[in-house]
Amino acid sequence: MGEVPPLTELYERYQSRDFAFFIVYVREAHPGENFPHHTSFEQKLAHADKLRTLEKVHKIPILIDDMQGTTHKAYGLLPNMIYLIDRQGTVVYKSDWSDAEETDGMCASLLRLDEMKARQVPIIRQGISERLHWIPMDPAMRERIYRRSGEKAIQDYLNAKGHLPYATDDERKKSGET
Amino acid sequence: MDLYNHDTYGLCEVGAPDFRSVAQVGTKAPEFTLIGLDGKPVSLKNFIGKKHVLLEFGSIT
Repeated sequence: MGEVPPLTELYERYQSRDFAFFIVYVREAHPGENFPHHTSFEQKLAHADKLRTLEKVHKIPILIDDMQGTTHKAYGLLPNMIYLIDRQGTVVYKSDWSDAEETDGMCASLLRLDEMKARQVPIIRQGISERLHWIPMDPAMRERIYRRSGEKAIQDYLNAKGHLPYATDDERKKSGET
Repeated sequence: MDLYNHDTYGLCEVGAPDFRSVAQVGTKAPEFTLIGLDGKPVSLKNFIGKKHVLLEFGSIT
């Protein structure tokens, strides 16, 4: 999942201003010897609790998806997604990879909307924007996460992608990834 | 075989929708009721009219 400290910072900034933050614990993206795939809800609960201690999730509540991944599927089935839903229940922001800076901007945008409504500023219309973003590679961080799961997770990634999960750009080029 | 709870990373895209085609911006967010680590259920509908909701999806690995 995304880095917890920057998300916790956002939680501190916005939770008192009518925002509710949740982490939704879903299937293990990279099951390995230490954290195998879920076979029971009890095990999934235990993993979610382990996530809390490993990633030091001390403030943001963790919700646990069901065994079929019903909510995970409804929102797109990716491992590090983030969604912002306004108080009318409308999706106002979604990203396939959590980015605290971008999320901060969107939370601030909703705050501005709340202020505009409070001041009865007329709104011409609801606009929409789209953007691409770039996910940075930190080999040391990636290695730590994958080693946490176990050698099997590293081997599975190598089998699927043709390079190690913490390969540098040069190493990926050598393996022929386009 | 349980395709959702796959035991191999290489299977993660089996059955996956196009991310951009579900829960689209500007549409109603899919309703959910999920159990928290404290054992209490949390429903999206309980926040309607009250709070903005931020969801981050994740796992240990």
